[in-house]
Amino acid sequence: MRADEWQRVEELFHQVVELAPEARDRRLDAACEGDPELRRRVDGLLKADAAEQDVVADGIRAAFSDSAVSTLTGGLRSAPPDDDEGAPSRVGAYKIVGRLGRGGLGTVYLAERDDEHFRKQVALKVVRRGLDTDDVLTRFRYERQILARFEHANIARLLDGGSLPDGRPFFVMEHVDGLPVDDYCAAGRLDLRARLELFREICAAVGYAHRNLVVHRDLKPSNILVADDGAPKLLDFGIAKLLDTDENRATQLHTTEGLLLLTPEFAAPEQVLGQPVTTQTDVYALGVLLYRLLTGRPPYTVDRGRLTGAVEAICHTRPQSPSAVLELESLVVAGLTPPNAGPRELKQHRKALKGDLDLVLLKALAKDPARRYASVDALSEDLRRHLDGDRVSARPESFTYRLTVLLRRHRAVASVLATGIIVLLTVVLTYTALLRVQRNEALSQADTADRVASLLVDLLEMSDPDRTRGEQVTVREMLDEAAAKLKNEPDLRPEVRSNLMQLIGLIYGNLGLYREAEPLLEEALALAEGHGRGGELADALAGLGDLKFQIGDDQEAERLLSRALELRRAEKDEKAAEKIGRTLNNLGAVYQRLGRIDDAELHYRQAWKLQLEFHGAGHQETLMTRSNLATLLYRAKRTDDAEDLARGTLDAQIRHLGGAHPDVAVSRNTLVAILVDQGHLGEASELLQQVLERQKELYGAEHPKVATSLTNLGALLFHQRRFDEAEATYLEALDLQARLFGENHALVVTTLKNLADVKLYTRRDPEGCERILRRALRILAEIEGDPVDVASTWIQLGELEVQRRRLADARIARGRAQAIHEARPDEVPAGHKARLAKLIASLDDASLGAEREPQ
Amino acid sequence: MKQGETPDGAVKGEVTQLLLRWSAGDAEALERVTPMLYSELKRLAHHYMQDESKEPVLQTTALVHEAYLRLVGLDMSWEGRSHFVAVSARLMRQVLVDRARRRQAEKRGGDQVVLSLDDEDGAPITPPSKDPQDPTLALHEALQDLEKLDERKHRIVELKYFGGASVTEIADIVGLGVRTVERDLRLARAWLADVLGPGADAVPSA
Repeated sequence: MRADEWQRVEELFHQVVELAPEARDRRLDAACEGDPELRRRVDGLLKADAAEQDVVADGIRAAFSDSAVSTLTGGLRSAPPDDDEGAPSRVGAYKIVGRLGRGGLGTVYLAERDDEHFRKQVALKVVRRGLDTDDVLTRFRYERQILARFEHANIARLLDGGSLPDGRPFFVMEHVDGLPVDDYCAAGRLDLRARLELFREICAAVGYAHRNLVVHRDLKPSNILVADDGAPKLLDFGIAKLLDTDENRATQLHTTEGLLLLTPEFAAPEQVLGQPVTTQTDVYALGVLLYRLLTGRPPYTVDRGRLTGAVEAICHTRPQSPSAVLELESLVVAGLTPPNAGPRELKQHRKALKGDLDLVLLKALAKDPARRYASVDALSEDLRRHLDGDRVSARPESFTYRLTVLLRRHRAVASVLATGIIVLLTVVLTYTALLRVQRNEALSQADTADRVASLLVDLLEMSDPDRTRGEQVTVREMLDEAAAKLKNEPDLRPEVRSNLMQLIGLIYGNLGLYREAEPLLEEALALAEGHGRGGELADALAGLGDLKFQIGDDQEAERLLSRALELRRAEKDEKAAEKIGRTLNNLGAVYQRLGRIDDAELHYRQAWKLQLEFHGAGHQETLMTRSNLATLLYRAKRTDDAEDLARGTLDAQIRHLGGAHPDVAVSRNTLVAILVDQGHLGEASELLQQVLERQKELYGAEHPKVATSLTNLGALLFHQRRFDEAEATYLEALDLQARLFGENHALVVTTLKNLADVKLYTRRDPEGCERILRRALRILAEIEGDPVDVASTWIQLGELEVQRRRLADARIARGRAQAIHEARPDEVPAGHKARLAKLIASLDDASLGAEREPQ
Repeated sequence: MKQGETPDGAVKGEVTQLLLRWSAGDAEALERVTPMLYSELKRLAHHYMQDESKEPVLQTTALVHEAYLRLVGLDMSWEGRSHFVAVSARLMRQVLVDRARRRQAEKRGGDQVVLSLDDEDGAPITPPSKDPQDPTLALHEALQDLEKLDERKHRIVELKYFGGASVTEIADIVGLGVRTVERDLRLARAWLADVLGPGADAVPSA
């Protein structure tokens, strides 16, 4: 071709290549009139261009893949030229028939067991020579141990292991004949739902590994093969690490070598930075994988050639929302849309990802492990929710929601607040405090205001996207910081300090962080005692009183709240009515717990009346008081009244506050208890499951309310004679309570006693049962608990000893219980008396039986 | 420099100096830097081929970057880097082609060729080989044809695919606009695909 001919071809090509087919044809017809050779050439180019085949890339790919090709096709009889370790022709009982590839640690061969009966193909992994340092050998032996423990349909099984004559270790794994998961999805053109379902299967396998304390650390498509039947298999726990091994082993595995073996495209920031690798590391890699499966693109580009660039991308490049990065080309390549797809399909796919899936992926891909899903199971569960059309948990709004709830209880602040984001919350809280100070102390020194303002600025800075790299600061971090700053601010006026401490303390308290709240609220009160006026002192008393109630110090709560009520009643301020109502309600709750039922009812009813006048019937606080009254009536065994009140309250709450409101969960809880009393166990257990779900969503898994619901669920399961589930639920509750409240707490006692009842009933594990009951007695002694509880614990112990035929011990227990019951006949519930009577009867029977027995 | 060793500071400095001299018009500098680059690229290529990575095309990019980091380090100006990429692109192609040829020879049963894979001198062996079944060699030959037809497009393809240069970098190296580079690439790809594609009738007249 002459240069001018070529130039003509080139020009024409560019002129028509972007045109629609018809216009293109017209243009070509005109331009090539009388020059068929030109037409032929341009057509050829256009056709090649349309095929979008990158022949150059293919040629290079061929060069790079040559080693694998030549060894597999050429076989291993002649040593492959680039195989520096030299492939064995047989290993133990296995005959090598080909090579499957190389991993970070060694070469994987396709092998057959040389056995007449079984001709099963397996994958045989041999450590690479030159890499078989002590470290790698340790890892290899280690890998064998881990895999041998696994028994999961979606994890490639370890079949055998040993070492070669030259000392190199090998092991034999189930051979998986499948495609890498991304190729599988593309080849089968799996739709979004099918991909998510497949991905959840992968999650289940990884979750299984995690529960066995193994983190994969190198999850990527080539390690996740999907067989023809569609079942995924996880391969190559090559750098997996046991979480619970001794320190030496853990550190040994955490070497530079480990870092070099990473796959940068799937590596999590903590891996690149050499920080501890946890189950969250796998969550991240799974996030990268899912991102690719759903968009056909990586969340960010990692330049393998530039180390610093790669680190930067992995650690700092925030992935864009999947729905925002979609492009037709990658969707087609990934098999997410048909090859002839157009803007309509693109739009559809974008719509499918937008919202929930965006949120799920970005949460899985959070740079900070603590902000990712707490577990692979949680990630998978969120995808299930999405598939079922439920709300996913990964929502920035959930935070807002929690705060709105919080603020509803502190209306003074809420009235100023339009949106609930944390920055605003803190600013407004602090600002309100500042305003209050200025209002009360018109002559306050200018520098006090300055200090509060600068505290404000500090807090604002904390949430500056530049400083936090765009990630939200948690309420917890914000509060900790604010509390620390407050401590180091010596020149604050006591009024300001007291106010700020109280505010921060209240938020801690509302988040269930009682231990953090207590010292702040105590100091706030001490300051208010010294300097505060009536209203402020009452606020401080009420704040600490509420907290004492929350942490179970009822006596102290009663003292503080009574004083607060007294001060508020003396205020003669119309607006005080609101606070009086709240304090009356809270005091009612304290009396209820102290067993002073009449006092409790009186206070609740007074509160209700006041709130009806002040707020109206549909107000959250009015309804809460009503709900409390229902609970009280239930406790007082006025079950039918309680049921009416509880159902009415629940309906009103759902109507006025919405079904997701936390108070609805409280009322449901009450109704559950009432239904249990009436024997409607079916409805009760359904309701309670709803409660627990909601609470976990709302407060997170570690919250006192979750613990209470677990205790109740345990009781319900017990009533339904589902003993194993009951025991497991109680144990979960116990663990949570001990963590939240500490060992010495009345609620821990309740759960222990419930657990003991399960064991008494099933007559399994008497030693465990005794330990539980002794633990309960010890705590009751420690906290000077309710004597009625002490008596009932002795009754349980007595029952146990009768079961064990330790009649002398049983009699001692009976004696203890009897003494308490006789001293306080009015306080002991009828059920306890009946149970004691039964114990006495069974003890008499047993004694008779024992006497009749020949010695 | 021997293969497999990490280049020490002296070598690094030398490569940098040679590249600078070459960019200033010293042809002898290029002759001296080429073997160093070639052996380093070959060594790296050998290493990379043991990798299971799924994106082989990116490997050339990564490889050239790594060679640059090893031989030059980070202390060179942009112009120096673009010179490096320009030289490396050609050498990278050479490395791959040599490998492909050895592979061909090996398939025909040439045992001695196997040994020469890790030879020290790094001198390219160039047996006349026209095996249509080897995609790398077929590509190489098509590229040679493209070079005869349109030297500029050939250069751009080489920089892009074997040098791992971005379109912007290429635009700087060859002194063209980004848009022109993109257009050239598109046409060159189509031309190569047309030549190499399954329906292609022999090699078109050049």
